[in-house]
Amino acid sequence: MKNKWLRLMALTMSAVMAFSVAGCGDKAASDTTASKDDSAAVKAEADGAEVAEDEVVTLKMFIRNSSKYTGLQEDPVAKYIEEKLGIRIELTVDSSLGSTTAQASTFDELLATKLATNDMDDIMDFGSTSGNPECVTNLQNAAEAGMIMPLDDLVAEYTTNLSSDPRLTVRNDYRRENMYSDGKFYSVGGWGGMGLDQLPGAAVWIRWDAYKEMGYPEIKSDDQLLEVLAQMQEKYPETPAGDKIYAVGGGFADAQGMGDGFLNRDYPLTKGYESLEGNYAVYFNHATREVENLLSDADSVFWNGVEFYFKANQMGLLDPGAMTMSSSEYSEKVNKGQYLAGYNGWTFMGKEAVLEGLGMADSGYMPLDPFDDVESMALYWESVLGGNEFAISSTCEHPDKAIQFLDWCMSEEGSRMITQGAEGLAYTVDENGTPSLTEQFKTDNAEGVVDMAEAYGKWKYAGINAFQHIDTDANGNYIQPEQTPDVENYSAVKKDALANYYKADSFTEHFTTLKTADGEDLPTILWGSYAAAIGTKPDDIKQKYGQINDFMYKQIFKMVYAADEAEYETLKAEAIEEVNNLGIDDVFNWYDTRMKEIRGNLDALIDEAVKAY
Amino acid sequence: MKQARVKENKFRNAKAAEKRKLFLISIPFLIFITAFSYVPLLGWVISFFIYYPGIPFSKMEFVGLKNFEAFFYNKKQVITVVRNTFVLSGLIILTLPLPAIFAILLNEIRNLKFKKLVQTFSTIPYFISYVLLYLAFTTILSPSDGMLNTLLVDNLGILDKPLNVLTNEKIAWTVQTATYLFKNLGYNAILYLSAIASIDTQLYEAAEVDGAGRFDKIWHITVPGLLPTFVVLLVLQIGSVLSGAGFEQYYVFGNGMIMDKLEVIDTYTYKMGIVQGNYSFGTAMSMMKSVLSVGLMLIANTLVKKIRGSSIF
Repeated sequence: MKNKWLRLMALTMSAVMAFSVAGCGDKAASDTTASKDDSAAVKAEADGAEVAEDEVVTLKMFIRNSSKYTGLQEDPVAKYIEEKLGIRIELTVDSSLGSTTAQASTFDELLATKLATNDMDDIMDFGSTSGNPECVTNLQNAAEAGMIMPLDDLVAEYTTNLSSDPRLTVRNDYRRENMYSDGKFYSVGGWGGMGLDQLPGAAVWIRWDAYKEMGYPEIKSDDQLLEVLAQMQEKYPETPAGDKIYAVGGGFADAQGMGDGFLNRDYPLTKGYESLEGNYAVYFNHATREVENLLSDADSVFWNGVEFYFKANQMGLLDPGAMTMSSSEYSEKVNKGQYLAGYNGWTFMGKEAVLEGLGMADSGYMPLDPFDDVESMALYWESVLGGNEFAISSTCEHPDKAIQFLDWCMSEEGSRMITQGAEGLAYTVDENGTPSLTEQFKTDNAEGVVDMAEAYGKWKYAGINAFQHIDTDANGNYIQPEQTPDVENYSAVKKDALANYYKADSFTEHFTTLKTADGEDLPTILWGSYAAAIGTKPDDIKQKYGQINDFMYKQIFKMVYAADEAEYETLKAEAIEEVNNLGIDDVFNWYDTRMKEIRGNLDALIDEAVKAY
Repeated sequence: MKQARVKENKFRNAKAAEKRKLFLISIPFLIFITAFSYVPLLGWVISFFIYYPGIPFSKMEFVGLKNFEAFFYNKKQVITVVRNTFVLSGLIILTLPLPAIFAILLNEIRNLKFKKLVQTFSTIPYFISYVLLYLAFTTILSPSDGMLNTLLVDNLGILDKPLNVLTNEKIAWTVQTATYLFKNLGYNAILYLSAIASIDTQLYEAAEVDGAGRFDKIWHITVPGLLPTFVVLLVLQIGSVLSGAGFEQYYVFGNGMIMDKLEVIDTYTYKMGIVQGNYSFGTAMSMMKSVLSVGLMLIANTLVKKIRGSSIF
């Protein structure tokens, strides 16, 4: 009897093992079978066999999103798409691979794995050309390998927006002529336009109620800022809940590219410089549209940023927990009102209701006017060629439906619903085509209790839409109605800042008419298309900047937490010497040459495309 | 005579049938190991090419050993990475006796309930992911609002400044070794506990008759009984000396302040290979590491064989 059981167990285990091995059989083989079946189906359709036109198909999508779950989506926007287009959205990733910097990095890594294993979903989000340096290379290789399909014929046959809207056709032409080598285009560019921020995200945002109480002392330099923050921190040591308040913080524990983003991304951007493709070796000056080597210049804004955090730490103004915190923990502390200022305005804006709920009535954050060393301010977000890349995989069984889905996303209607939520639920449109938010939406949005992504579809699929939320439609209305200034209902801090600090009728009027320290008009465009066009880098350049980034990631934190001025200066000198040894000049020269080529090719195209907005 | 021959043949046939059966049962396992452990090794070939996902093999550019050479591009960095790998692994090897000692102590506890409680609590950390473990550590050790610092600085006033345990480069190796022990000590002790259980109880009884005390029994019976297990674990650990405590721990616990002490071959390969999309480079590193690991394990095995007369292989 015992033997019998043993035999049975052994056989069962063997069978399980055999099935496991068989289950890992060649996916391509089964795909080929499916593909043959599809060919048969397509042929049957061509032959006049009956294929129900209203048949709902499911498209698997590997796209960044804010969903709490993978699989079939049930939010109002997904439902609308299902009813209108006959397409059900099946997400293969959820919000854990969403749109924050940290998540985007994880998304890029997963994308690389999917590409390496040819595990392609119907619609593939290849990420942002400016955020992922490998984006264009990935697309070009996927196209060459036949993993994604050319879109020319599909766009011509099945679309209305992608094939005729000049704001979109220029994107397709750009891809056809500049991105791919065979005269076809394989991806559509989402998240583009020429959006205008009412308030600059890349600026110093400060606790306005506290700043107001101090009488709006003039701040034109980092040192003046630190002095003011020191006084503020002394005056406001803790929140009503008893949590300690620090002047500034950070989520430095995140990996390279995120944890150090506070220093190599956020700070330089407030001065008008953007780290190109996240590299320390080369920065794009948005005022001049040229690249610069900031690390080799000991007096550059990059080093000023490191010095700012070093001084903040020396003065006891930097949260001592910053080095062990992730970006999300940092954001949580911002939401609790535990910081007085920060260089990433997007983390601080619109916190009035949250702070009020914590017993800090009429509190909030607002941006200071640019300091003397600011060369440009990011108000207009230029991305006329589209910043995010979406492709249809060659294994997609319904490419016609897939392109129709993308075409809808590329419409003004699609862009609006994706960023704001379903029409009729989140907003209504009057006879003049003017959208306005519903009262229920306003209430739910303000209370912060309802999951807006699930209840309204708000921002759930943001990124795949053609136009940015801050762009305007053909009628001049914001793509995301929420962006329309609601002056009457401005919060106390907004009203106060407008009346007593900016002294202007609107934020736009104030920020678009600012002057530099030299009295010139302050440039206000953040150019996105140039960085997005960089494309494939030679291996040796990648190796070099990889080493530089890796080194700097460690070095800057040592500098921030240096014991004293002498140690700081030693570490700084060591850093400059080391990046030179690691070949920063080679990297910079490569980018400089490439940028000159890009400008030669694209300046006219971009300037022309800008006019369409 | 004939009857004996027939009987012998029958016995042989039955034995052959049994062997065939065992062989047939083992086939799926062999296929499983081949499919998941050996077939993937074919992918090593991309170490010698410039590989891009999806590009056919025929179109890849052959670059010989260039990807292997790339590891040594930044010699200073390589020295740091190799140093960290060996130091962290060395510290783990030095702590190898601890689970055995812990198991012996556990075995000596007479109160069964207490023994089980200790064993359960010491084993649980093994099943907690490093991400959760890191969260728990920061909740306790965070310099701004961690429990420990709040207690020592704010409540008791013992310290003027908060302790920076997780960002202090000077103690990074120690902290990581302690973390490894916290997570693995209890689990690794299970192996020794099972080894202790297999020691013949008559030996203890005989020792007692001879007047041996508790310590004598441990030293002269339990410890020698654990040596074979210890040797196996030692050889295996030497085989994985290029991995240390594994990728996850150093990746999760690493931050800019201590990466100079925690950057090991695995994390370095991940950064330069996967994150930057240099798959060929990543594969070359992985291949080099695997070959070296097998070599180290074989050397350790041979040494043990010479010293003790027995070994794994």
